[in-house]
Amino acid sequence: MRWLALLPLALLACAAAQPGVERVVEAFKLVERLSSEGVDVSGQIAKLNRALELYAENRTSEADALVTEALRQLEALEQQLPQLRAAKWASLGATVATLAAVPPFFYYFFPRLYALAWARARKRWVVRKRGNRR
Amino acid sequence: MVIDDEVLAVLTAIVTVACALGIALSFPRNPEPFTAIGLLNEQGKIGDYPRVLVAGEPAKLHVFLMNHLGKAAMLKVEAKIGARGRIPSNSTPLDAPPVWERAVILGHGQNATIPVEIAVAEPGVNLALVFELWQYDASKGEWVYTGRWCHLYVNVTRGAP
Repeated sequence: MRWLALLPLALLACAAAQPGVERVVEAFKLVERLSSEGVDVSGQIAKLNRALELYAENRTSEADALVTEALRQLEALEQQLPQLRAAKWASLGATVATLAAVPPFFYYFFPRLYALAWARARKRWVVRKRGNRR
Repeated sequence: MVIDDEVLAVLTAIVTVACALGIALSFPRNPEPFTAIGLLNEQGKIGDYPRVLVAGEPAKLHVFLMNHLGKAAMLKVEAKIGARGRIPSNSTPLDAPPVWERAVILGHGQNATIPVEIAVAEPGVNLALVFELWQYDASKGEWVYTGRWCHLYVNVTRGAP
């Protein structure tokens, strides 16, 4: 009898369950992997969220097309992952090297540049002897 | 103004500290990961929640979700009907079937506000509209309860015949 009482609730739960999530899960695994590597997947996330909305509205064919498109783009990004990873590390290395080089360059060049600027700012100055006595 | 050795040393020290800070901030850091769920009213704001519902008529609310896990996450909200003293804990979800659910994928730092309409079929006093946050665990291939939920106590009256 107790099971019979739970039956309407179980049926309600089945009816409320969001369809299409299983298909999106496959694409999400790639989204999670690529985003953890710092790849921009915001466009694909928007497509998958739109697909979830369409699945909820029972517009399955439109949602399937969106998921397929997102999957195709994600797989292309995954193939580029080694290059993207290398570019990311190269960018980080260049940033660190540039910042590390600033203090010695500053120490060497700043006094010279400052002296040059000081002299240029005063290049029209005329030097006169005070008192003008002979 | 003359740049003597002392002034140059101080300026170089300032530049060195600024550059060291810049280098430290350049490295990717693992932020303290968290997800969040919040309940908003019909207008999508905090407060003015419905306290009395009519059985069979939908309560209009919004659920706010946020992902700060450092990577994209697939989150799911499950709405359940509980009661006073019968709500989830931060380790176990409510033992009741969901009456509504919605999954959404959020990138790191993203949030979403999802409209919800829930109708409670039977009248009752001190019922709880429970909203649990679940996260899809790709390594396990299943939804995992995050331990985060929010709930709203309502009294449900019988509708006009």
